[in-house]
Amino acid sequence: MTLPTTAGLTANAVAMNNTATVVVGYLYKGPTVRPAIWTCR
Amino acid sequence: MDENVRDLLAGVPAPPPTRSAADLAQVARRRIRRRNIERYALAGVMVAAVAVATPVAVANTRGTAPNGTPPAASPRAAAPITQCRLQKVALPPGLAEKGVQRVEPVGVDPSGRYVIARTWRDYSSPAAILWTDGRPEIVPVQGENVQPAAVNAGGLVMGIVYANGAWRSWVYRDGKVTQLPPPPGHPVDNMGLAVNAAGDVFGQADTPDVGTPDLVVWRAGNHYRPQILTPDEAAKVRAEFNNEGASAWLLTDEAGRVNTGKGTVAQLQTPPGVDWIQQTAVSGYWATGYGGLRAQREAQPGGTAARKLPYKVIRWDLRTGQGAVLGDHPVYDITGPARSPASPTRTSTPKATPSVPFSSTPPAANP
Repeated sequence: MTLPTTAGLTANAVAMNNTATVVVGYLYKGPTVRPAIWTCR
Repeated sequence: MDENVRDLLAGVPAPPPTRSAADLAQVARRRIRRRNIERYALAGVMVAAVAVATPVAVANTRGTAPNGTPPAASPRAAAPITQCRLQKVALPPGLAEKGVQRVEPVGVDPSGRYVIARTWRDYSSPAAILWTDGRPEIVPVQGENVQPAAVNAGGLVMGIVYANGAWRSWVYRDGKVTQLPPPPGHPVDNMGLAVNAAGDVFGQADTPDVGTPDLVVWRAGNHYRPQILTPDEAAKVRAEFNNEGASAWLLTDEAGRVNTGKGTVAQLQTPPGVDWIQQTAVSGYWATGYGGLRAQREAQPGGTAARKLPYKVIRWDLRTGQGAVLGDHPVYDITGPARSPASPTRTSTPKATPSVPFSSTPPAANP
């Protein structure tokens, strides 16, 4: 399964919670890095 | 990371992280004079290597061992994750006006309720952000280079800050920041590495000569009075709390031993296909890390640039000591050619922590 991202941005995940229902990471393009939180089920 | 995370990621081919190990360590190198920092950076890369894919692939293997069978240590049955949705993330007010271009989450608590991030404008003014149920706030730590390191399920955030000429560790909860006192004889730098459910902080502290740092525990129940671990208890490679207990922690050393913090030491086995191993994370019944072949490592050219080695990602069952190779994974090596993880630093079991058979005193069962 691939985590969805915003068009034009690359996703990078760094951690998840115990049940893998929350994945955190960031989306980036060039110098801009935005936080990303995915909820999974 | 919880053992379930590793279950999920068993067998997941993860491409290299987009951030190089050198990048991860760059800020630390600027001011932290610890000689051991590369190891922790490498450990972070390894954790990321296990947990990260770009784009991220999450296999539906939760609850299964690498061979596909349910692991005995993970009795919880859970439905496989089939869908993930990107959430809209609010930022603290005024952040963009301050010129912050990078907001980079670094952790999430075991429940998923709390998320922590660091910000980057340049390497001198980062701040820490905490989201609680999606609500962001700046962690009000005074000083430079405020960086969060971990958050527990109670919402207690732990991190580091450069203040008054030294690195210090702090905890934050319910609007209150508490700086952790340096241990006696360790006035230079200290750095929290992990926090457990009780709010105890595990970290390292430098002596005035800035030699090899000592491991230290700040216990929340003892007003964060620092406790230096004795040399026999301490290992220089990796230290993390075990999530399952308020007072338990695990230490690993370069000889493949895991100190449970409960008076026992477990000897991990070197799985087929590698001749050296190193652990980078522990949780519950599990330890993860990597290994490789000495010949491949020694064949790498010298130099200061980050180098890649074909590591094997390994997961160990702490009850049996057996390690399973989860797969091949190239990872950056910044430990330097002189610090082979294959070289054990000790050959005997510490007197204070007697070695016991795995089957006789396994770690406490998960809830």
